[in-house]
Amino acid sequence: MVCIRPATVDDLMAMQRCNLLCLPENYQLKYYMYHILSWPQLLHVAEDYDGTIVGYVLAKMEEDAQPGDCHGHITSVAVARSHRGLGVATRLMIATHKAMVDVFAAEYVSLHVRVTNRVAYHMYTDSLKYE
Amino acid sequence: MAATPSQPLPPKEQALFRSVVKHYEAKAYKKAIKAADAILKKFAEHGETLAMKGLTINSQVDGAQKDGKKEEAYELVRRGLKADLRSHVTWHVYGLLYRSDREYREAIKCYLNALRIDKENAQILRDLANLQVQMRDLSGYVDTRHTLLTLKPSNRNNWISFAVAHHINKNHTMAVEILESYEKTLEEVPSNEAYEHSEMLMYKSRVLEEGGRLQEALEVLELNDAKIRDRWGRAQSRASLLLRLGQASAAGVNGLQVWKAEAAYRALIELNPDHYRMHEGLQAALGLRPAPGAALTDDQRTRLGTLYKDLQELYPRSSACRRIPLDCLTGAAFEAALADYCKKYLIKGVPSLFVDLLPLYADAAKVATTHALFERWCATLRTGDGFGDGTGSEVGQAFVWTLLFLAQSYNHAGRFADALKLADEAILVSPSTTEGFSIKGKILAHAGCPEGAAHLAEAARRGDLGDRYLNSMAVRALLDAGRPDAADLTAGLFVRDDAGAPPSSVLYDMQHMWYEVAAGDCHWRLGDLSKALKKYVAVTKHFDDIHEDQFDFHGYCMRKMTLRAYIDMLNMEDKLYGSDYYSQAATGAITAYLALHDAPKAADAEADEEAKMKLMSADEKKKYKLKKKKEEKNAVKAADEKKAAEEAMRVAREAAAKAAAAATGDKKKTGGGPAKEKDADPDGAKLAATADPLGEATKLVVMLKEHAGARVSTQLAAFGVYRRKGRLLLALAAVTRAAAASDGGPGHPDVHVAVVRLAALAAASPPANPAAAAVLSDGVKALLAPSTDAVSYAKAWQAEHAGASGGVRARIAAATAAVALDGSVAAKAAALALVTGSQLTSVSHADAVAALAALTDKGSPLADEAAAAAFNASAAKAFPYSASFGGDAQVTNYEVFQFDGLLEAFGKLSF
Repeated sequence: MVCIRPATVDDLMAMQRCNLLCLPENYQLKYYMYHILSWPQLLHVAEDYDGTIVGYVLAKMEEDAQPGDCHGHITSVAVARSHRGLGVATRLMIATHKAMVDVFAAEYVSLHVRVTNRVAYHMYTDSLKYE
Repeated sequence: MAATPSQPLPPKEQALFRSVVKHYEAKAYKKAIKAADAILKKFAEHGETLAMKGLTINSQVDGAQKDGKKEEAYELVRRGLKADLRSHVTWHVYGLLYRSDREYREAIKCYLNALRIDKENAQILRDLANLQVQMRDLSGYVDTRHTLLTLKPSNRNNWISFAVAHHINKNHTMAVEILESYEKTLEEVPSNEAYEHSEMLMYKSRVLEEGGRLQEALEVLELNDAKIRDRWGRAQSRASLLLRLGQASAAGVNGLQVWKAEAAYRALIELNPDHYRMHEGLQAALGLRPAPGAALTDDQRTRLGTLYKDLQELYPRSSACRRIPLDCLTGAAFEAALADYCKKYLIKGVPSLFVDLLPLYADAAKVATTHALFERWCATLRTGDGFGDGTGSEVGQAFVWTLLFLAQSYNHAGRFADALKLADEAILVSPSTTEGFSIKGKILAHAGCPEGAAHLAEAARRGDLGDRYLNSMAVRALLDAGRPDAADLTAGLFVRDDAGAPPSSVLYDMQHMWYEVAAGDCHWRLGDLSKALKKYVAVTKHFDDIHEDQFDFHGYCMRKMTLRAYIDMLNMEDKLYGSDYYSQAATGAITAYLALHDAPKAADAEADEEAKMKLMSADEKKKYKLKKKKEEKNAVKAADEKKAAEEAMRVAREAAAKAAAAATGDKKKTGGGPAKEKDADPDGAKLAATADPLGEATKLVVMLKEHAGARVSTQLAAFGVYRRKGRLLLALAAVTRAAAASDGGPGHPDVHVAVVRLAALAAASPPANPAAAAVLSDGVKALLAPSTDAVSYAKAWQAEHAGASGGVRARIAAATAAVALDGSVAAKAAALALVTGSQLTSVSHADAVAALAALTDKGSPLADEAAAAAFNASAAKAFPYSASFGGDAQVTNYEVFQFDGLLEAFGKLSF
């Protein structure tokens, strides 16, 4: 149905398109470039059977972290409404969490979510155990 | 930057000059200028001070008003340079000035001059290196990085950058040698540099691989297993290397390496059983990929069946392990696997099931099986018998999603009546499922009713106002329906901007390309060239910005050591302008510029008007003037209403934003912030007023030819430009390439018309230069071959492509060509008969619309009222749902929204 895999630079424009399709917070392509050129292993995409990008997670490591406080941060995660119901967002988050720990030795992850975004809030607190 | 002795200053002024530089670097521009003026009071022609003052003024200009300040900056810097040609500072400053205007070639020249005076200035060398790699002056880049390394070999970045320079200059051997020399200088890698070291090792493996040294690339991965942090990346590279090594070995296949590759891919699938590319790798390792250009053999099919049976048992939750075999299974086995695959998703209500299975529809037998299966399910689910296999009522949302799946499938097959019936049933069964409306809208759009599609997309949008995806779909449908204003307002609902900038400008800032291309197309169809140009040109500007974006990363990635991603980024930038969005936007802009070039000027239009009036009687004149006045009044009224609606919208949006901000306690987004600079040309009027539309079009054609030369659209656009410029040899080259393009070819209708036009032009006005005339005539001959003249060529083409089974576009092309070659009344009648006699049963709606346009458009060589009416009548029968031909089965059972007064839904919006 949908494959979750690490993103490459060639995915960035499709990620930007997906973001503009789905979310109110948007970024110029350079911001996506900055992420992948700083932490290439953290960005992931959800790919349809015909190769279309239908979801992504844009993530980073906190740059000004105190020593011993190494942690990651989710900048943005989106899944097209057409590809709901498959647990894509959760799987994207799990994939980036694993990369944060394996590659960058992260101890925890932070993110911002609007409390009004109930679907997302539920996913973070219940499925992914964010506090 | 220190003052050089060519124009020495006394100590006090020297200190002042140092403060100019300090203030400039700290962006304290006013203070910098004040200090510079203090020096210039005493030494009016001090070159370096003049240059620094110019550079500072230029920095003030960036982003702010530009009333002549830019010119002043250049003027000052040039004066400074003239006063002190032997200073590296003045040359460096001149280079920085050019750099700030993206004039990189000029900037490089200046830096090279500066370095002639101060050979070992590391700062100038670094700036030069960045410009060289930006401009892909690769040998220059290698030289500069070499100098920098020699100057400071203790610096890690200098080693890495030198290696990267050789790598991108395609000298893989040197790159590897440098990386290895650098490795030798390393002692223990400190733990806080473990990631950088790991990236360096992965990069080295990649350079070896690209240099064809696969075995050594593999060894880097094997020997450094413990040091490599990118576990997935390592495993993936290792598997791919093993596979390539196994396949490349002389006697067919190296058994051990292939076996290792299989194991490696199985391990990767264990980590991520849904990763399609890893499945492809495993299949390749097992010899289960089809040979190039061939289909799978029966033996391969059987073995794939067994492989996936095993994988499904290993990974029961993986969808890929069940989806992939659907591609190779056939007959009863396919049906059973399909049924098993779909049920779960139907019960859960997964909207993407149809697009997931769509690739199977290339096989007609699979379409038939799928239809039969889903028709059976529809029947049993409708009567409460589940999937008809005794599962009973435990079917969740299966009924509505089975209906919607089949509706999409019928729509795909062009069975609109059946599709609409099922979509309506689905909406009745579950009115809260927004996809019911979305899918019905898509069917209407496909059947030729974009207006209806827009209302249904709006209905879906209102099902969940907070979902931007539904908003985006509505915007798209509105643009397709020719409603750019409503589309803008709808898109604006998700634009949060407190500075009061119009939505379109915020969408522009966010590089919203699909929207801008679609909006450009919409304005083009409505005949608004200015607005169409505005949108198309906006997209081409995004590409310039994205191309520019790489600049900051040349140094950054060396420090971060993210070298593989950096190389990928350079490759992406190199093929950037070949992307679809650029092609669409650039060809759109070219078409608009050509239309402007062809259009009669405003003065001519007035003259036409006067001529028209002269022919009228006094009474007619009066009526005509009254009508005109009324039209003008209506236009003013409409504009006023639109303005009022927009103002109300802005107020509503501000209120919503304020409320949302208050709810989330988000302080930083409300108020404050400098007001955004207003777009001086929001509707593209200035763009369209260009004195040289052909010149603007030429610039875009040059870009397209360089980056997307293989596309037929590029070459046809080039032909359009060059034939108007009378550059017949370039026009010939374009048509020749269009005839060779894989998506074009001599059978392509538009290529055919271009060939005939070119032949006619070559005959009518051959170049004066005999050599050029010979090249042109030879080229045209080659295009017409085996025919020897345009008339017989066109006849042969018509017989081959526009016969009984020929599509309507081919018939239009044949007719257009015939009329171009023979302007007689009889020829036009025959050509029109060819179009009106088209078989419309297997023609797409879009093609039929294009045909009608060719018969009705003012200025079309095929324009003819009677033929248009005849064609329209047969099209109305062939497309009864279409609004384009006034068919008698147009759908009306949907809620109609007032797109001109969209306000009602706005207050409800919250993010």
